Amino acid sequence: MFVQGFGEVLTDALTVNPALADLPAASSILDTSNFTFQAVAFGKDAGGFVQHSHVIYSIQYVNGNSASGASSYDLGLLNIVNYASDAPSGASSYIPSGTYLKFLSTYDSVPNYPSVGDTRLERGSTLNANLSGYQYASALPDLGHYANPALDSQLSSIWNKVGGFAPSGAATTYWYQLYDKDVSLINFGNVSSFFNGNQLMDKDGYLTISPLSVAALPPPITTDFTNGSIIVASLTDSRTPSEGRMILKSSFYKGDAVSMAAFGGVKHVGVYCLDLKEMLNSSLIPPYGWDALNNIRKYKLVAKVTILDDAFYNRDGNGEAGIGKWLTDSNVTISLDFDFK
Amino acid sequence: MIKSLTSQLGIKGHLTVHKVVDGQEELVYDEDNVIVSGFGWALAHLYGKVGSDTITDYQIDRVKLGVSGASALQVSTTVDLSGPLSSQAEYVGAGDSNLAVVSGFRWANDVATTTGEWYAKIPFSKVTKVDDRTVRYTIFIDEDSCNNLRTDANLNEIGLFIKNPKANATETSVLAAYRYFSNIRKTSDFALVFRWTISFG
Repeated sequence: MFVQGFGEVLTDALTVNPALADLPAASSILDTSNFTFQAVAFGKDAGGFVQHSHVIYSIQYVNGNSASGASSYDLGLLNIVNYASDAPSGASSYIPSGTYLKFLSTYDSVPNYPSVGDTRLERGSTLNANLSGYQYASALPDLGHYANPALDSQLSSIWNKVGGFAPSGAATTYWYQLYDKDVSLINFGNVSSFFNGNQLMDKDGYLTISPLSVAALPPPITTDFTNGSIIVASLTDSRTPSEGRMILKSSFYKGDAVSMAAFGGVKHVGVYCLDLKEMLNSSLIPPYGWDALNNIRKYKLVAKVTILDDAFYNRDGNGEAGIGKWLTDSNVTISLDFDFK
Repeated sequence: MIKSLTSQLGIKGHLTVHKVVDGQEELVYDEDNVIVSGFGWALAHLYGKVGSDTITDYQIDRVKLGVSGASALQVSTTVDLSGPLSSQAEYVGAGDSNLAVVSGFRWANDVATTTGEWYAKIPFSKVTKVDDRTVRYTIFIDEDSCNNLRTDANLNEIGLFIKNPKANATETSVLAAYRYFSNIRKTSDFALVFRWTISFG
Protein backbone atom coordinates (compact mmCIF):
# COMPACT_ATOMS: atom_id res chain seq x y z
CA MET A 1 0.00 0.00 0.00
CA PHE A 2 1.05 3.56 -0.59
CA VAL A 3 1.55 5.50 2.63
CA GLN A 4 1.26 9.19 3.37
CA GLY A 5 4.93 9.71 2.62
CA PHE A 6 4.11 9.11 -1.02
CA GLY A 7 1.54 11.89 -0.89
CA GLU A 8 4.24 14.17 0.51
CA VAL A 9 6.63 13.27 -2.33
CA LEU A 10 3.92 13.87 -4.94
CA THR A 11 3.10 17.23 -3.39
CA ASP A 12 6.76 18.21 -3.44
CA ALA A 13 7.03 17.11 -7.08
CA LEU A 14 3.99 19.15 -8.10
CA THR A 15 5.15 22.27 -6.30
CA VAL A 16 8.91 22.40 -6.86
CA ASN A 17 9.70 25.70 -8.54
CA PRO A 18 10.43 25.36 -12.29
CA ALA A 19 12.56 28.51 -12.07
CA LEU A 20 15.28 26.41 -10.42
CA ALA A 21 16.16 25.31 -13.94
CA ASP A 22 17.81 28.70 -14.40
CA LEU A 23 20.02 28.33 -11.32
CA PRO A 24 23.01 26.14 -12.15
CA ALA A 25 23.69 25.37 -8.49
CA ALA A 26 20.14 24.19 -7.86
CA SER A 27 18.90 22.88 -11.19
CA SER A 28 19.67 19.28 -10.28
CA ILE A 29 16.83 19.46 -7.75
CA LEU A 30 14.56 19.10 -10.77
CA ASP A 31 15.98 15.71 -11.72
CA THR A 32 13.31 13.06 -11.40
CA SER A 33 15.63 10.82 -9.36
CA ASN A 34 14.96 13.08 -6.37
CA PHE A 35 11.32 12.01 -6.46
CA THR A 36 11.37 8.40 -7.67
CA PHE A 37 11.83 5.10 -5.84
CA GLN A 38 15.42 4.78 -4.64
CA ALA A 39 15.59 2.03 -2.04
CA VAL A 40 13.94 -1.08 -0.68
CA ALA A 41 14.16 -2.44 2.88
CA PHE A 42 12.95 -5.65 4.45
CA GLY A 43 11.45 -6.28 7.84
CA LYS A 44 9.45 -8.64 9.98
CA ASP A 45 7.55 -8.87 13.25
CA ALA A 46 9.18 -6.96 16.12
CA GLY A 47 9.24 -10.10 18.28
CA GLY A 48 11.26 -11.87 15.65
CA PHE A 49 14.26 -9.64 16.23
CA VAL A 50 15.04 -11.56 19.43
CA GLN A 51 14.12 -14.95 17.98
CA HIS A 52 15.33 -17.22 15.20
CA SER A 53 19.07 -16.79 14.60
CA HIS A 54 19.09 -13.57 16.64
CA VAL A 55 19.23 -15.81 19.73
CA ILE A 56 22.67 -16.23 21.21
CA TYR A 57 23.49 -19.88 21.53
CA SER A 58 26.72 -21.40 22.69
CA ILE A 59 27.94 -24.32 20.68
CA GLN A 60 27.94 -26.30 23.89
CA TYR A 61 24.31 -25.45 24.51
CA VAL A 62 23.34 -26.25 20.98
CA ASN A 63 24.92 -29.64 21.45
CA GLY A 64 22.83 -30.32 24.47
CA ASN A 65 25.24 -29.21 27.17
CA SER A 66 24.63 -26.28 29.46
CA ALA A 67 26.34 -23.06 28.50
CA SER A 68 29.59 -22.28 30.20
CA GLY A 69 29.93 -18.64 29.22
CA ALA A 70 31.47 -19.53 25.94
CA SER A 71 28.92 -17.93 23.68
CA SER A 72 31.27 -15.52 21.89
CA TYR A 73 28.19 -14.69 19.89
CA ASP A 74 28.20 -18.17 18.43
CA LEU A 75 31.80 -18.02 17.31
CA GLY A 76 30.93 -15.83 14.38
CA LEU A 77 28.79 -18.53 12.82
CA LEU A 78 25.22 -18.11 11.70
CA ASN A 79 23.61 -20.83 13.78
CA ILE A 80 20.13 -22.01 12.88
CA VAL A 81 18.05 -24.34 15.01
CA ASN A 82 15.15 -25.90 13.17
CA TYR A 83 12.59 -26.79 15.81
CA ALA A 84 10.34 -28.31 13.16
CA SER A 85 12.96 -30.52 11.59
CA ASP A 86 10.70 -33.55 11.77
CA ALA A 87 8.05 -31.87 9.61
CA PRO A 88 7.54 -33.45 6.17
CA SER A 89 10.35 -32.31 3.85
CA GLY A 90 11.66 -30.17 6.68
CA ALA A 91 14.76 -31.98 7.86
CA SER A 92 17.22 -29.65 6.11
CA SER A 93 15.10 -26.52 5.93
CA TYR A 94 14.42 -23.69 8.34
CA ILE A 95 10.76 -23.62 9.27
CA PRO A 96 9.95 -20.43 11.25
CA SER A 97 6.63 -21.83 12.48
CA GLY A 98 8.63 -24.31 14.58
CA THR A 99 10.14 -21.36 16.47
CA TYR A 100 6.73 -19.69 16.74
CA LEU A 101 5.28 -22.79 18.35
CA LYS A 102 8.18 -23.51 20.68
CA PHE A 103 8.16 -19.98 22.11
CA LEU A 104 4.44 -19.41 21.80
CA SER A 105 4.05 -18.09 25.33
CA THR A 106 6.61 -15.33 24.81
CA TYR A 107 6.70 -14.76 21.06
CA ASP A 108 4.09 -12.75 19.20
CA SER A 109 5.04 -13.46 15.60
CA VAL A 110 2.42 -11.26 13.95
CA PRO A 111 3.78 -8.17 12.19
CA ASN A 112 2.08 -4.80 12.63
CA TYR A 113 -0.96 -4.37 10.45
CA PRO A 114 0.00 -1.75 7.85
CA SER A 115 -1.33 1.78 8.17
CA VAL A 116 -1.33 4.59 5.64
CA GLY A 117 0.32 6.71 8.33
CA ASP A 118 3.33 4.42 8.76
CA THR A 119 6.79 5.94 8.45
CA ARG A 120 8.66 2.70 9.13
CA LEU A 121 8.01 -0.97 8.47
CA GLU A 122 7.50 -2.29 12.02
CA ARG A 123 6.27 0.14 14.62
CA GLY A 124 7.63 -1.88 17.56
CA SER A 125 11.30 -1.89 18.52
CA THR A 126 13.54 -3.95 16.28
CA LEU A 127 16.51 -3.83 18.64
CA ASN A 128 17.94 -7.10 19.88
CA ALA A 129 17.86 -7.28 23.67
CA ASN A 130 19.99 -10.42 23.49
CA LEU A 131 22.95 -8.19 22.64
CA SER A 132 22.77 -5.95 25.69
CA GLY A 133 26.05 -7.32 26.99
CA TYR A 134 27.90 -6.49 23.82
CA GLN A 135 30.25 -3.50 24.09
CA TYR A 136 28.71 -1.60 21.19
CA ALA A 137 25.12 -2.77 21.48
CA SER A 138 23.91 0.83 21.57
CA ALA A 139 25.30 1.33 18.08
CA LEU A 140 22.47 -0.75 16.67
CA PRO A 141 19.79 1.66 15.40
CA ASP A 142 16.10 0.94 15.89
CA LEU A 143 15.24 0.98 12.20
CA GLY A 144 11.97 -0.91 12.03
CA HIS A 145 13.58 -3.30 9.56
CA TYR A 146 16.68 -5.43 9.07
CA ALA A 147 20.03 -3.68 9.37
CA ASN A 148 23.15 -4.60 7.46
CA PRO A 149 25.78 -4.78 10.20
CA ALA A 150 28.50 -5.97 7.86
CA LEU A 151 29.15 -2.34 6.91
CA ASP A 152 29.00 -0.97 10.45
CA SER A 153 32.41 -0.87 12.10
CA GLN A 154 30.91 -1.37 15.56
CA LEU A 155 28.55 -4.14 14.63
CA SER A 156 30.26 -6.08 11.88
CA SER A 157 31.75 -8.58 14.32
CA ILE A 158 28.27 -9.63 15.43
CA TRP A 159 26.61 -9.64 12.02
CA ASN A 160 25.44 -13.17 12.80
CA LYS A 161 23.28 -11.93 15.71
CA VAL A 162 22.17 -8.52 14.47
CA GLY A 163 21.07 -9.88 11.10
CA GLY A 164 19.88 -9.91 8.49
CA PHE A 165 22.80 -10.04 6.03
CA ALA A 166 26.28 -11.53 6.07
CA PRO A 167 29.46 -9.82 4.97
CA SER A 168 30.92 -10.75 1.63
CA GLY A 169 33.98 -12.92 1.51
CA ALA A 170 35.64 -16.13 0.60
CA ALA A 171 33.83 -19.43 0.68
CA THR A 172 35.00 -20.46 4.12
CA THR A 173 34.71 -17.08 5.84
CA TYR A 174 31.02 -16.63 6.59
CA TRP A 175 29.39 -19.86 7.50
CA TYR A 176 25.97 -21.08 8.53
CA GLN A 177 25.23 -24.24 10.49
CA LEU A 178 21.76 -25.74 10.51
CA TYR A 179 20.81 -27.88 13.52
CA ASP A 180 17.78 -30.06 13.88
CA LYS A 181 15.45 -29.94 16.88
CA ASP A 182 17.71 -32.38 18.69
CA VAL A 183 20.57 -29.93 18.09
CA SER A 184 22.50 -32.19 15.80
CA LEU A 185 24.32 -30.51 12.94
CA ILE A 186 22.69 -31.48 9.68
CA ASN A 187 23.68 -28.88 7.10
CA PHE A 188 26.18 -26.06 6.58
CA GLY A 189 27.47 -23.72 3.89
CA ASN A 190 28.71 -20.27 2.98
CA VAL A 191 26.38 -17.28 3.44
CA SER A 192 28.55 -14.62 1.80
CA SER A 193 26.25 -11.75 0.79
CA PHE A 194 25.50 -10.88 -2.83
CA PHE A 195 24.22 -7.47 -1.72
CA ASN A 196 27.43 -6.68 0.13
CA GLY A 197 29.63 -8.23 -2.52
CA ASN A 198 28.17 -5.78 -5.03
CA GLN A 199 27.90 -2.86 -2.57
CA LEU A 200 24.15 -2.59 -3.04
CA MET A 201 23.05 -2.13 0.57
CA ASP A 202 24.08 0.45 3.18
CA LYS A 203 24.60 -0.28 6.87
CA ASP A 204 20.98 0.58 7.65
CA GLY A 205 19.67 -2.11 5.33
CA TYR A 206 18.58 0.10 2.44
CA LEU A 207 18.99 -1.82 -0.82
CA THR A 208 19.52 0.58 -3.70
CA ILE A 209 17.41 0.49 -6.86
CA SER A 210 19.09 0.40 -10.25
CA PRO A 211 19.02 3.87 -11.82
CA LEU A 212 17.66 2.53 -15.10
CA SER A 213 14.50 0.53 -15.55
CA VAL A 214 14.56 -2.69 -17.51
CA ALA A 215 12.69 -0.96 -20.32
CA ALA A 216 15.31 1.77 -20.48
CA LEU A 217 18.29 -0.58 -20.60
CA PRO A 218 19.95 -1.17 -23.95
CA PRO A 219 19.20 -4.55 -25.49
CA PRO A 220 19.44 -7.33 -24.69
CA ILE A 221 17.11 -6.58 -21.81
CA THR A 222 18.07 -8.69 -18.82
CA THR A 223 17.04 -9.06 -15.27
CA ASP A 224 20.46 -8.17 -13.96
CA PHE A 225 20.40 -7.44 -10.22
CA THR A 226 24.05 -6.40 -9.89
CA ASN A 227 22.98 -2.74 -9.70
CA GLY A 228 20.28 -3.34 -7.12
CA SER A 229 16.57 -3.91 -7.28
CA ILE A 230 15.12 -3.28 -10.71
CA ILE A 231 12.15 -1.41 -12.08
CA VAL A 232 10.43 -3.48 -14.76
CA ALA A 233 8.54 -1.20 -17.11
CA SER A 234 9.03 -3.20 -20.25
CA LEU A 235 6.55 -2.95 -23.05
CA THR A 236 6.82 -6.70 -23.37
CA ASP A 237 5.67 -7.14 -19.81
CA SER A 238 2.01 -7.06 -18.89
CA ARG A 239 2.72 -4.42 -16.26
CA THR A 240 3.56 -1.46 -18.43
CA PRO A 241 3.42 2.28 -17.81
CA SER A 242 1.00 2.48 -20.73
CA GLU A 243 -1.38 0.60 -18.43
CA GLY A 244 -0.41 2.79 -15.50
CA ARG A 245 1.56 -0.04 -13.92
CA MET A 246 5.09 -1.19 -13.20
CA ILE A 247 6.93 -3.82 -11.16
CA LEU A 248 9.74 -3.49 -8.64
CA LYS A 249 11.81 -6.66 -8.28
CA SER A 250 14.34 -7.47 -5.57
CA SER A 251 16.30 -10.68 -5.73
CA PHE A 252 18.06 -12.52 -2.91
CA TYR A 253 20.90 -14.65 -4.14
CA LYS A 254 22.57 -17.46 -2.24
CA GLY A 255 23.81 -16.30 1.17
CA ASP A 256 21.31 -13.45 1.36
CA ALA A 257 18.43 -15.87 0.90
CA VAL A 258 19.82 -18.25 3.52
CA SER A 259 20.41 -15.53 6.10
CA MET A 260 16.96 -14.02 5.52
CA ALA A 261 15.37 -17.39 6.13
CA ALA A 262 17.52 -17.98 9.20
CA PHE A 263 16.57 -14.69 10.81
CA GLY A 264 12.87 -15.33 10.40
CA GLY A 265 12.30 -14.19 6.85
CA VAL A 266 10.50 -11.21 5.40
CA LYS A 267 7.03 -10.02 6.42
CA HIS A 268 7.38 -6.37 5.44
CA VAL A 269 8.81 -4.86 2.28
CA GLY A 270 9.27 -1.10 2.22
CA VAL A 271 9.81 1.15 -0.78
CA TYR A 272 11.52 4.49 -0.27
CA CYS A 273 12.03 7.76 -2.08
CA LEU A 274 14.67 10.26 -1.09
CA ASP A 275 13.70 12.60 1.71
CA LEU A 276 14.69 15.63 -0.33
CA LYS A 277 13.49 18.15 2.19
CA GLU A 278 15.47 16.54 4.99
CA MET A 279 18.63 16.39 2.89
CA LEU A 280 18.35 20.01 1.78
CA ASN A 281 17.82 20.98 5.42
CA SER A 282 21.09 19.17 6.14
CA SER A 283 22.85 21.21 3.44
CA LEU A 284 23.12 18.19 1.18
CA ILE A 285 22.73 19.34 -2.41
CA PRO A 286 21.87 16.95 -5.27
CA PRO A 287 22.87 14.94 -7.18
CA TYR A 288 22.90 12.26 -4.50
CA GLY A 289 25.11 9.47 -5.77
CA TRP A 290 24.91 5.98 -4.35
CA ASP A 291 27.75 4.91 -2.04
CA ALA A 292 27.02 1.86 0.09
CA LEU A 293 29.94 2.52 2.43
CA ASN A 294 29.15 6.18 3.05
CA ASN A 295 25.53 6.66 2.13
CA ILE A 296 24.43 10.27 2.55
CA ARG A 297 20.95 9.57 1.24
CA LYS A 298 18.06 10.00 3.64
CA TYR A 299 14.93 8.06 2.83
CA LYS A 300 11.19 8.45 3.21
CA LEU A 301 8.88 5.42 3.27
CA VAL A 302 6.35 5.73 0.43
CA ALA A 303 4.91 2.23 0.10
CA LYS A 304 4.89 -1.00 2.05
CA VAL A 305 3.67 -4.53 1.79
CA THR A 306 2.93 -6.65 4.85
CA ILE A 307 2.28 -10.38 4.81
CA LEU A 308 1.55 -12.81 7.63
CA ASP A 309 3.46 -15.70 6.13
CA ASP A 310 7.19 -15.75 5.62
CA ALA A 311 8.25 -14.96 2.06
CA PHE A 312 11.23 -17.30 2.55
CA TYR A 313 9.26 -20.49 2.87
CA ASN A 314 11.57 -23.41 2.12
CA ARG A 315 11.38 -27.19 2.16
CA ASP A 316 13.60 -30.06 1.12
CA GLY A 317 12.99 -31.51 -2.30
CA ASN A 318 14.54 -33.55 -5.07
CA GLY A 319 17.26 -34.73 -2.77
CA GLU A 320 18.39 -31.24 -1.90
CA ALA A 321 18.37 -29.42 1.43
CA GLY A 322 15.73 -26.70 1.39
CA ILE A 323 17.88 -23.99 2.86
CA GLY A 324 20.98 -25.16 1.06
CA LYS A 325 19.26 -25.13 -2.31
CA TRP A 326 19.67 -21.37 -2.42
CA LEU A 327 23.44 -21.75 -2.30
CA THR A 328 23.57 -23.47 -5.64
CA ASP A 329 21.51 -22.10 -8.46
CA SER A 330 18.38 -20.74 -6.90
CA ASN A 331 17.27 -17.38 -5.57
CA VAL A 332 14.25 -15.67 -4.07
CA THR A 333 12.72 -12.76 -5.98
CA ILE A 334 10.17 -10.45 -4.42
CA SER A 335 8.07 -8.62 -7.00
CA LEU A 336 5.91 -5.65 -6.09
CA ASP A 337 3.23 -4.72 -8.59
CA PHE A 338 2.25 -1.04 -8.62
CA ASP A 339 -0.99 0.30 -10.05
CA PHE A 340 -1.00 4.09 -10.31
CA LYS A 341 -4.39 4.42 -11.97
CA MET B 1 -6.57 -7.62 -6.22
CA ILE B 2 -4.39 -4.53 -6.31
CA LYS B 3 -6.13 -1.38 -5.12
CA SER B 4 -5.51 1.69 -7.22
CA LEU B 5 -3.37 4.56 -6.02
CA THR B 6 -6.31 6.92 -5.64
CA SER B 7 -8.23 4.51 -3.43
CA GLN B 8 -5.16 3.51 -1.38
CA LEU B 9 -4.07 7.04 -0.62
CA GLY B 10 -7.52 8.56 -0.68
CA ILE B 11 -6.58 11.14 -3.31
CA LYS B 12 -9.32 13.73 -3.59
CA GLY B 13 -9.93 16.76 -5.70
CA HIS B 14 -12.16 19.66 -4.82
CA LEU B 15 -13.21 22.56 -7.02
CA THR B 16 -14.78 25.86 -6.16
CA VAL B 17 -15.81 28.47 -8.72
CA HIS B 18 -16.29 32.10 -7.80
CA LYS B 19 -17.63 34.99 -9.82
CA VAL B 20 -15.73 38.18 -9.14
CA VAL B 21 -17.61 41.45 -9.62
CA ASP B 22 -16.01 44.70 -8.50
CA GLY B 23 -13.57 42.75 -6.38
CA GLN B 24 -16.30 40.85 -4.56
CA GLU B 25 -16.29 37.05 -4.82
CA GLU B 26 -19.52 35.11 -5.10
CA LEU B 27 -19.35 31.33 -4.73
CA VAL B 28 -21.19 29.71 -7.64
CA TYR B 29 -19.90 26.16 -7.46
CA ASP B 30 -18.38 23.92 -4.77
CA GLU B 31 -17.93 20.18 -5.46
CA ASP B 32 -15.46 17.32 -5.43
CA ASN B 33 -13.97 16.28 -8.75
CA VAL B 34 -12.57 13.21 -10.45
CA ILE B 35 -8.87 12.34 -10.68
CA VAL B 36 -8.66 10.58 -14.04
CA SER B 37 -6.45 7.75 -15.21
CA GLY B 38 -4.08 10.09 -17.03
CA PHE B 39 -2.67 11.11 -13.67
CA GLY B 40 -1.71 7.51 -12.92
CA TRP B 41 -0.46 7.02 -16.46
CA ALA B 42 1.95 9.91 -15.98
CA LEU B 43 3.08 8.61 -12.58
CA ALA B 44 3.72 5.16 -14.05
CA HIS B 45 6.06 6.75 -16.58
CA LEU B 46 7.80 8.72 -13.83
CA TYR B 47 8.20 5.76 -11.47
CA GLY B 48 8.81 3.32 -14.29
CA LYS B 49 11.69 5.55 -15.38
CA VAL B 50 10.54 5.62 -18.99
CA GLY B 51 9.34 9.21 -19.19
CA SER B 52 10.95 12.61 -18.94
CA ASP B 53 13.98 13.05 -16.65
CA THR B 54 12.79 16.47 -15.50
CA ILE B 55 10.23 16.65 -12.74
CA THR B 56 8.60 19.81 -14.06
CA ASP B 57 7.36 17.82 -17.06
CA TYR B 58 5.11 15.94 -14.62
CA GLN B 59 3.66 19.09 -13.08
CA ILE B 60 0.13 20.30 -13.67
CA ASP B 61 0.76 23.59 -15.43
CA ARG B 62 -2.18 24.03 -17.80
CA VAL B 63 -5.92 23.89 -17.98
CA LYS B 64 -8.64 23.58 -20.58
CA LEU B 65 -12.11 25.07 -20.36
CA GLY B 66 -15.02 23.70 -22.30
CA VAL B 67 -18.64 24.15 -23.24
CA SER B 68 -20.08 20.63 -23.53
CA GLY B 69 -19.52 19.16 -20.09
CA ALA B 70 -21.53 16.28 -18.75
CA SER B 71 -21.70 14.42 -15.49
CA ALA B 72 -21.16 11.20 -17.44
CA LEU B 73 -17.62 12.39 -18.15
CA GLN B 74 -16.75 12.42 -14.48
CA VAL B 75 -15.18 9.00 -14.64
CA SER B 76 -11.57 7.93 -14.48
CA THR B 77 -11.46 6.96 -18.15
CA THR B 78 -12.06 10.50 -19.42
CA VAL B 79 -9.12 11.73 -21.50
CA ASP B 80 -10.30 15.17 -22.61
CA LEU B 81 -13.07 17.70 -22.26
CA SER B 82 -16.15 17.09 -24.35
CA GLY B 83 -16.14 20.50 -25.98
CA PRO B 84 -12.86 22.26 -25.20
CA LEU B 85 -12.29 25.82 -26.33
CA SER B 86 -10.69 25.24 -29.68
CA SER B 87 -8.91 28.44 -30.54
CA GLN B 88 -6.69 31.06 -29.02
CA ALA B 89 -9.43 33.58 -29.72
CA GLU B 90 -11.94 31.72 -27.58
CA TYR B 91 -9.59 32.03 -24.60
CA VAL B 92 -8.25 35.55 -24.98
CA GLY B 93 -10.62 37.25 -27.44
CA ALA B 94 -9.59 40.63 -28.73
CA GLY B 95 -9.30 42.42 -25.40
CA ASP B 96 -6.57 42.67 -22.81
CA SER B 97 -6.78 39.15 -21.50
CA ASN B 98 -4.18 38.16 -18.93
CA LEU B 99 -4.35 34.50 -19.91
CA ALA B 100 -1.27 32.90 -21.40
CA VAL B 101 -2.37 30.26 -23.87
CA VAL B 102 -0.27 27.64 -25.58
CA SER B 103 -0.84 25.05 -28.25
CA GLY B 104 0.22 21.46 -27.80
CA PHE B 105 -0.70 17.86 -28.32
CA ARG B 106 -2.37 15.50 -25.87
CA TRP B 107 -2.03 11.89 -24.72
CA ALA B 108 -5.25 9.88 -24.99
CA ASN B 109 -5.15 6.20 -23.98
CA ASP B 110 -1.39 6.05 -24.59
CA VAL B 111 -1.68 7.56 -28.07
CA ALA B 112 -0.55 11.10 -28.79
CA THR B 113 -2.81 13.37 -30.77
CA THR B 114 -1.21 15.18 -33.68
CA THR B 115 -3.45 18.19 -34.03
CA GLY B 116 -2.71 21.26 -31.96
CA GLU B 117 -5.01 21.92 -29.01
CA TRP B 118 -5.25 25.05 -26.89
CA TYR B 119 -4.47 25.29 -23.21
CA ALA B 120 -4.38 28.13 -20.72
CA LYS B 121 -1.22 28.10 -18.64
CA ILE B 122 -1.40 28.14 -14.84
CA PRO B 123 1.30 30.53 -13.61
CA PHE B 124 3.54 28.88 -11.01
CA SER B 125 2.69 31.73 -8.66
CA LYS B 126 -0.84 30.30 -8.61
CA VAL B 127 0.32 26.85 -7.48
CA THR B 128 0.14 26.68 -3.72
CA LYS B 129 1.39 24.00 -1.38
CA VAL B 130 -1.38 24.16 1.20
CA ASP B 131 0.21 21.56 3.47
CA ASP B 132 2.54 18.55 3.14
CA ARG B 133 -0.01 16.59 1.10
CA THR B 134 -2.23 19.22 -0.50
CA VAL B 135 -1.78 21.36 -3.61
CA ARG B 136 -4.09 24.12 -4.75
CA TYR B 137 -4.28 25.51 -8.28
CA THR B 138 -5.88 28.90 -8.76
CA ILE B 139 -7.07 29.66 -12.27
CA PHE B 140 -8.05 33.24 -12.81
CA ILE B 141 -10.20 33.99 -15.85
CA ASP B 142 -10.23 37.76 -15.97
CA GLU B 143 -12.99 39.99 -17.33
CA ASP B 144 -11.42 40.03 -20.80
CA SER B 145 -11.04 36.27 -21.16
CA CYS B 146 -13.36 33.59 -22.50
CA ASN B 147 -15.99 36.05 -23.67
CA ASN B 148 -15.66 35.19 -27.32
CA LEU B 149 -17.12 31.69 -27.32
CA ARG B 150 -19.03 29.99 -30.07
CA THR B 151 -22.68 30.99 -30.38
CA ASP B 152 -24.78 30.55 -27.23
CA ALA B 153 -22.05 28.61 -25.51
CA ASN B 154 -21.66 28.45 -21.75
CA LEU B 155 -18.58 27.41 -19.86
CA ASN B 156 -19.42 24.20 -18.02
CA GLU B 157 -16.35 21.95 -17.86
CA ILE B 158 -12.72 22.23 -16.87
CA GLY B 159 -9.71 19.93 -16.88
CA LEU B 160 -6.23 20.07 -15.37
CA PHE B 161 -3.40 18.78 -17.53
CA ILE B 162 0.09 17.49 -16.78
CA LYS B 163 2.69 19.30 -18.86
CA ASN B 164 4.68 16.82 -20.94
CA PRO B 165 5.38 13.47 -19.19
CA LYS B 166 7.30 11.90 -22.06
CA ALA B 167 9.30 15.00 -22.94
CA ASN B 168 7.95 15.14 -26.49
CA ALA B 169 9.41 17.79 -28.78
CA THR B 170 5.96 19.30 -29.08
CA GLU B 171 4.61 19.44 -25.57
CA THR B 172 2.11 16.61 -25.24
CA SER B 173 -0.03 16.84 -22.14
CA VAL B 174 -2.33 14.43 -20.37
CA LEU B 175 -5.57 15.06 -18.50
CA ALA B 176 -5.16 14.64 -14.74
CA ALA B 177 -8.48 15.85 -13.34
CA TYR B 178 -11.90 16.73 -14.75
CA ARG B 179 -15.00 18.52 -13.53
CA TYR B 180 -18.34 19.38 -15.07
CA PHE B 181 -20.07 22.39 -13.53
CA SER B 182 -23.28 24.34 -13.99
CA ASN B 183 -23.46 26.67 -16.97
CA ILE B 184 -21.73 30.02 -16.76
CA ARG B 185 -22.22 32.53 -19.58
CA LYS B 186 -18.97 34.43 -19.37
CA THR B 187 -19.08 38.15 -20.09
CA SER B 188 -16.78 41.10 -19.56
CA ASP B 189 -18.83 42.08 -16.52
CA PHE B 190 -17.08 39.64 -14.24
CA ALA B 191 -14.06 37.43 -13.75
CA LEU B 192 -14.00 33.81 -12.66
CA VAL B 193 -11.74 32.18 -10.10
CA PHE B 194 -11.39 28.40 -10.08
CA ARG B 195 -9.69 27.06 -6.95
CA TRP B 196 -8.82 23.43 -7.45
CA THR B 197 -7.43 21.56 -4.48
CA ILE B 198 -5.89 18.09 -4.72
CA SER B 199 -5.17 16.19 -1.50
CA PHE B 200 -2.91 13.13 -1.39
CA GLY B 201 -4.22 11.32 1.67
